[in-house]
Amino acid sequence: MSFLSPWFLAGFALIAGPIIAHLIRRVTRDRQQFSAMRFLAESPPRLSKRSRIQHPLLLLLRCLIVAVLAAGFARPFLRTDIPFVPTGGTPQSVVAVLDDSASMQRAGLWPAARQKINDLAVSLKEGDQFVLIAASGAELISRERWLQTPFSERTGLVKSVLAARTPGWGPARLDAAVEAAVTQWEQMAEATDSRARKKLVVVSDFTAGARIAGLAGLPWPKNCEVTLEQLKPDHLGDAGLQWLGWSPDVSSVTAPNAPPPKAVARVRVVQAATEAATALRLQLYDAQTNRAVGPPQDLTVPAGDAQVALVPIPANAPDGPLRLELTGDAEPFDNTLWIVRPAPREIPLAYYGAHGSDDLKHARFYLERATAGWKDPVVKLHAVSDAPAPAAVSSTPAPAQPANEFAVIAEPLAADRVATLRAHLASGGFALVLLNDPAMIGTAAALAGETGWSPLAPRLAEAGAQPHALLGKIDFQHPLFALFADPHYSNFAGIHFWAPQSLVLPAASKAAVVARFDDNSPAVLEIPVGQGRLVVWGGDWSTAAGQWVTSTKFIPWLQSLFERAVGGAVRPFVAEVGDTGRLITGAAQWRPALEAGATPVNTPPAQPGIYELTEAGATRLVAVEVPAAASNVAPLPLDDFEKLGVPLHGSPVGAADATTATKSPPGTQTSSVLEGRQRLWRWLLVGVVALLAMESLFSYVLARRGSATVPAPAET
Amino acid sequence: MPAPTATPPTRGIDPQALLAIRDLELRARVVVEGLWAGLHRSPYSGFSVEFTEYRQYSPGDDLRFLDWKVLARTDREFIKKYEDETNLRCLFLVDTSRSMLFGSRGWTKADYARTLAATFALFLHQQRDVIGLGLFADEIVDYVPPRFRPGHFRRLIAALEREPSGRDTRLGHALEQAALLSRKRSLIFILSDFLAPVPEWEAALGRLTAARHDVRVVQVLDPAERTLEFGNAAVWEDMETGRQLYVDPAQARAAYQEKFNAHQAEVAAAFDQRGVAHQVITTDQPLDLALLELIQPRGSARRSATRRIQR
Repeated sequence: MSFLSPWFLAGFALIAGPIIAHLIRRVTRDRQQFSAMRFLAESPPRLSKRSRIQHPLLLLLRCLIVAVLAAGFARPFLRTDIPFVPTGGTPQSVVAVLDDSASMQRAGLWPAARQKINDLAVSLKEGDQFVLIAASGAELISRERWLQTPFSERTGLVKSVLAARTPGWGPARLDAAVEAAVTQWEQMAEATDSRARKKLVVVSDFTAGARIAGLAGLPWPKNCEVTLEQLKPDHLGDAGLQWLGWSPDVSSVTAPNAPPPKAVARVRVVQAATEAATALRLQLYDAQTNRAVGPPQDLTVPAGDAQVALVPIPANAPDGPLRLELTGDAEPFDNTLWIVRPAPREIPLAYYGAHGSDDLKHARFYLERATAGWKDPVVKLHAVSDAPAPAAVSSTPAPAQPANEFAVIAEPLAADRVATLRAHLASGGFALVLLNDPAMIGTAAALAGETGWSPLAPRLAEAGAQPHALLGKIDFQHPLFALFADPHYSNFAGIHFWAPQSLVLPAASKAAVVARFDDNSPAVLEIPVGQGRLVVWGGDWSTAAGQWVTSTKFIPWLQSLFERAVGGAVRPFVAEVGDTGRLITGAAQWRPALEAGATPVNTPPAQPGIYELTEAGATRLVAVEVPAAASNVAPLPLDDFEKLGVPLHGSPVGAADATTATKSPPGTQTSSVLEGRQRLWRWLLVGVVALLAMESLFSYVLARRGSATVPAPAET
Repeated sequence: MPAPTATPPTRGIDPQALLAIRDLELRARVVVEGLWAGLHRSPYSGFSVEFTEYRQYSPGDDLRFLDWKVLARTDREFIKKYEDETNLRCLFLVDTSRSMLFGSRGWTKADYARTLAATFALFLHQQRDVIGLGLFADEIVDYVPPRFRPGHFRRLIAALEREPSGRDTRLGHALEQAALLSRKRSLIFILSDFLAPVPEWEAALGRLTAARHDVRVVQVLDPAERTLEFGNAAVWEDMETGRQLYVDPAQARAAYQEKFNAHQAEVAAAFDQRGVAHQVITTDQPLDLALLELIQPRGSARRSATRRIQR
């Protein structure tokens, strides 16, 4: 007879309880009420001998109950000759997620993470499957590679893979990594035994900046458990830099008697709540030469706080990219901020027309005033005229035609000028023709390279009213009018055109009618000419020709027209690692701007820095920064995972069958199998019940007999 | 002139059977009906003490009632006609203290005393007497003034049926209160166990008799209280004071009986000294016999009252 849990045999000691109870002198507990106690005197108590055991049979029964109960809890079994068949442990499907986000660059974290993964690999058995994936999404060790590697070499494989790996610069998206791990499990289940225990180990520093919200509602497979290995960095504190933007006001940081700065950068300095660096210093450097630019700036940020610092770019600073460094912080990974200052886009505007800049009757007057003070694009208007200039008109000599010149044509052009402009358009230029005269139709058709354009008969005036046209049908899908697509702004019915110049287009015309007058005649056309585009406006731009130039829609429309000419709206120039998609709209090429001889690549950058971004033929400098969330290094409460439904190790979901196979000492399995088959404890339990019934019956009989007999005279 | 002893029709109604009847009024009626049957067969003749009128003598009339003085003066025979006091005032004082809750036979002394009171009250009520009730423990806790009106007997029964209050006995105090409540001369029945020390209530009892009340005492006792043939060796607890003693009745019996008898003698002496009729009834006695003993005259001190009862 052996016992699976022999320590329960200590329960035999409880037999002493009933024995002592039976040896103790029975003090009567009976109570009797009586009315004439006044005449009664107290009787001397009746005593029993101490050594005498009362009701020995009852005592025997009670001792038996205790003993059998203790034996039952000890789970006895008989060692028979049943051969032990080694069943082997349940195979495991282990997926390890290694956090390689930017915050893992803190001192002490990465070696500890590698050690955790190594220890995990060592603990795996031959039949176990293992997949190692990085939180950034890279699969470091695939299941196939693990299974192809001989068992003895698997530990070496893990070590070699980890040795070649360093933490990245991206944000910690743990939810995406865990989701990828669940997908791995599914693949493993398809390939192998689906009953295998699934184990997920996440090795990370678990900072508050890590994203785990996506774990909510994740469908967890059966028999899975998640272990969170939280790593402790050497320094709990961290200060980081975050880019906010350019300050619109430069006067606040301008020192007296000093030239105003070129610009003022707004950055935020955040300090972790756990520990705070005492003295912080900001210093601007030329990113290409690493020379300090301007004086350093000292600041103090309390723990858990953030402070916005204004960093002036001195007037003598180079125009190229800059680097802002934060010193005084023990963790340097988020102490650098890359700064690019995109040059304002200039668009030379050539006005073809012998009109004065203060001539209210022509478009030049309104164009000059509408585009004055624009920051992007910066419009520089100069007038060009083939007609002999009147004395009052100041006509500047035409400069050499730049590639991005925008031509506004308000008078008929000579044939050679038309040819020059068409060549300009074909090479990607833009031009706008104002049909302020029926003769302009010929110029427009010549520029478009088409024939057959003819003026439409002027509309008849209604009795007693000035004849006017309205824009009737506008294509808000077209980039020229997409700005007004919102129903709040799409009402053009209040703009009257008193001198509309409608025309009739031939059927073969390539012109796209962007807007039509209310008589369905074309009002605004756009004709592609080579790589460039020609826009034709059916009328003049003046208060005499209509209300268009005084309407609130005129300047926004001009803005969209000129932005279209310079390559579209202003694009962002700062992004974080892992979020560079906001900088581009389609296929783009990236080249590190500070590395001479680097070749452009199509993959988005994985490191912070200054990059040359080439998109749709245009190249611009962009800055890629460390993610702001990486600076939020406060420890993440691991309870949050449980709240999101993650079956953590030790929780009821995860630990369903994790106890017996892994925790039991060697040799116990045979005993537990034998005991599980015999289940002698059940019979012992039945015996206890029978003994209890006998004890109750016997006690009842004794009680009845005791109450029925008149007590004998007391013995002393 | 003592009246002949009435012979009850039966050997008495078994108290166990009687007290098994839950309705107190029904219990009383069972006893009283049987009692009347017995009385009707008894040869005693009642007569009144109050003179009402004269009438002409006719042959056959009892010569005892002939007015001799008138005959001597006027030479004419007249018979004196007497009429009993029809409105006898009677007050029952019933002990409801905790000691009355003792009972070794399956019913308590309180049950027995209540039944006895109800029975006697019904007996008197049927004679159109004025009856009242006072339930007392440490004081008079419930008082129904003596009256004769429709529903009064029901009211009395309802008061009797109320569960005892379960307080201590202060018999002397209760009797003093009764003396204050009964200003008119009355027949007062006190039903109690009189286990309290005599000096506690002796003076108050004297006050009642001094007020010319006709006081009659029924001492209701449990048989076990007389003999201590009861119970096991156990911790005994006083029902009134809660005092606990380990008592082996076999051991304590002799001393108890001695003390109890001494108390009883003291009680009897106290009653005799004040001319109070005293009757000891144990709860195993048939109730009708107990009632019969009550209404039978014993000695001169109770004669007039007995006469009135036996009208």
